[in-house]
Amino acid sequence: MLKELITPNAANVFVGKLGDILIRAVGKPLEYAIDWGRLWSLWPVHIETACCSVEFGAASGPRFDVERFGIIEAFGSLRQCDLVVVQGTITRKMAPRLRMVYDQMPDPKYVIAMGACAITGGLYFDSYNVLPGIDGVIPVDVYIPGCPPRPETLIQGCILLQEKIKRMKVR
Amino acid sequence: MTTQLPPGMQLEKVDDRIMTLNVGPQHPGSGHMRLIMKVDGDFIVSCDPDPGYVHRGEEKMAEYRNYIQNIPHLERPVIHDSCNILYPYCLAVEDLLAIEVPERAKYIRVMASELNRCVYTLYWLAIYGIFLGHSTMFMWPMGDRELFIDLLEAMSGARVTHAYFVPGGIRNDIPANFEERCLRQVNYFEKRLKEYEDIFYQNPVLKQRTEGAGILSKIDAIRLGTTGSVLRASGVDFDVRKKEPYDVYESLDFETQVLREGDSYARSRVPYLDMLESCRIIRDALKKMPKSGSVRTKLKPNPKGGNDEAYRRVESGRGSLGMYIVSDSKTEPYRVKISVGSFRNLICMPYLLKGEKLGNMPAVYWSLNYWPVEADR
Amino acid sequence: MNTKKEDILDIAAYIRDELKFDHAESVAGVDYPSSKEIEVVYHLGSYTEPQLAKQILSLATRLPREDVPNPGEDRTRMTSLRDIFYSVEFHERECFEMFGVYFEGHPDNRRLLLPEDWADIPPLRKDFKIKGR
Repeated sequence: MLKELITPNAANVFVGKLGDILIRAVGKPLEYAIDWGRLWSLWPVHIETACCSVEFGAASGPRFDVERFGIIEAFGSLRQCDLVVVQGTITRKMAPRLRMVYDQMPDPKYVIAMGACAITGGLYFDSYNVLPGIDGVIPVDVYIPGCPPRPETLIQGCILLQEKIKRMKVR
Repeated sequence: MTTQLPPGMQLEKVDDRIMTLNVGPQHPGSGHMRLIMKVDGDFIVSCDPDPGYVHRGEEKMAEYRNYIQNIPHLERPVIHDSCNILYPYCLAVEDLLAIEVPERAKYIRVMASELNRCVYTLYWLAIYGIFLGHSTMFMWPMGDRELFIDLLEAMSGARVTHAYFVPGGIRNDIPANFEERCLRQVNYFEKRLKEYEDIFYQNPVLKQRTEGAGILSKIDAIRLGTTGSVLRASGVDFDVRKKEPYDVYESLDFETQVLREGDSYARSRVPYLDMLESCRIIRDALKKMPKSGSVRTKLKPNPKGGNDEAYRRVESGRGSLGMYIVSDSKTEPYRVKISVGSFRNLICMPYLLKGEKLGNMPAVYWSLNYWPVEADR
Repeated sequence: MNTKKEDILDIAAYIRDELKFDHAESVAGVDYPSSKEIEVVYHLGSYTEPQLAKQILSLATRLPREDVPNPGEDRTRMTSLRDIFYSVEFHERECFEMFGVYFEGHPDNRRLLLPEDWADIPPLRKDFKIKGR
C-alpha cells in the first residue's frame, strides 16, 4: 500500500510530511536541548562603556555572584561570546565600536541594555555627545532600568533573558 | 656581501619590525579607552592613549543646571567615589554663596569621604588583581567593599550614587548606632588588610611582575604634574589633606604615606597604605565628632552666586581633584571645570610604557590609578 | 594674575624659575561672547616648595574670539606653555578641541576627547546650544 502511495508525483508531499513528523518528534526536544545549553553559559563581552561597569563588577563579586545563574564573568575573546551587556552611556565615539563588536560576534547573540543611559540617554538626555539609547545601534533583548541598576536588578535582567532564550526558536 | 641589481630592479625593503597594536576599547586590559601602541617584538616603542569614549559633556551640562541640580550628574564620572568628586564642588559653591557649614556636618563629610575612598580603592585593587591574573584579589576586595557600601547605604540610602554632599552640609544625618557599626567595620577591615598584605603584596609572583616596571622618577613625576598615589609613590610628599586641609582634616591624626621606588609595585602599594590611614581618620573623626547638632545649613531656593570664581581641590582616591567654578550672578554656574586626577595621570602613560614589555602594560596602566570615565568626564 | 597673551611665555618662565611653581593643575577655557574674548586660565601649583603647597596660582590670558570659529586657522591662538610646564600637554589639547584655541608650538594639537568625525563648532563655546535647551 505504501508503494502505491509513493508515486513520483506524490513523493515531494510525502517527504514534506515526513519532515513535519520528524520535527515534531525530534525537533522540539532538540530545540529544548539547544536552548538549555545556551541558557546556562552566557559569555558576556568585555566591553565597558560607562560607569555601570562598577555594578557589573560588583555583580560578579562574591556577594551577588552572577555566575550562579550561568552568566560567566566577562573575560575572553569576543569571538566566543554570545552576550553584550551594554554597561551604561553610549557616546558618539563609542557607538561605531559597539556596532563593530556586535557584528564580530557569532550568532546567536543577545543584548542587555543596562542602566538608564543605555535605554534612553538617562541623565545625559541633553548632552551633545551621548546617544539617546542604543536601540539605533544594536537590537536589544532586555532592558534593565536604574542609574546604576543594583546588582540584584542586573541578576533579574539576566534571568529574564534566560526566560526569553528558553522560548526562542532555534534558527 | 651585497648583490648589485640593475637600477629599477632593487626591491624596496619594507620595515616590518614595528607593528601598530590597538588595545581597546574592547579589551580585558584596557577599560573604557584605547591605547595605540607601536611594538617592536615584545617591547613597546611608543604609546598614544586615546581617551574620550565616555566623554559625556559634564562641563557643558553643568552650565544649564542650577547649583543644586548639578549634584547628581557631577558625581557620575566616578560613581564609586561619588563623595569625593562632590566634595570640591560643594566647597567651591560654599565659597561662592558664602555659606558656613555646621561642625557636625564637617566631620560626617570627612567620614563619608574616607569610607568612599576605601570603596574606590578596593574596587581598584580588585581590578588590579584581575589584571595581574590574581583571582583571589578580585574576590576579597569585592567582598569587603560590600561592607563599606552597606555603611554608606545606611548613611545616604543609595548603593553607589549617594549624592550625599550638598552645598551647606550633607543631605541627612547619620542613622542611630551608626558609629558603633562603623567602628566595628573599621576594626574588622584593619585586620583584613593585613591578610591582603600576605596574599597580595608579599606574593613573589606579583613582586616579580610589578617591581621595576614603569619607573617614574621624582623629577619626572613633578614635571609631568602627576598627582595622588602616583606622585607619592615617586617620593614626593604631597597630599591635599595635609597641605591644604579642608573641613576638619587639620584636627585629625593621620600621616602621608610616601614611597620612594616609583615603580608599579610602589604605586599599587600607596593606595593600600592610604586605606590604613583612612581607617585611622575614621576612628579619630568618630571620637572627635560632636554628638548632636544640625548637619545642614538651609539654602535659599535657587541660590545665586556673585560675580566671582572659585577653585577648590580635595584629595580623592585618584589624587587631587579640583573644581573651578565661574559664576556670573545667575542661578546657574557660568563655567564649571573639573580638573581630575585621572586626566592628570594619563599624561605619564606614554613615558612609562615606552621601552616596557607588552606583558607589563596592564600592570603599569592600572597602577596609575586611572579611571577612564572620570578622565573623559 | 592676568596677562597679555604676548607676554605669557615670559611670565610663565618667571613663575617657574623665580616663584617655583612647577606644575599645572588644570587649563580651563572660559568663553565670553559679549566681549568677544576667550579666557584661558592656567591653575599652577607647586610640589617642591613646602610653603607654596597651599597655594594655587591662576594665570589668565584673554584671546580674541571669532564668531565663526575655524579652529587652528583663525585669530584665536596663543603660545603654548608646554615647554615651560610639561604637564599642560593634554590639558591644552583638551582646550583646543573644546574652545578652538590653537596653541602655537604644541607638539601635537590633535583631538583628544571628542569623536573623530566631530564637525560642529567647539562644544564648550557659549553659542553651541545643546538640544532641547
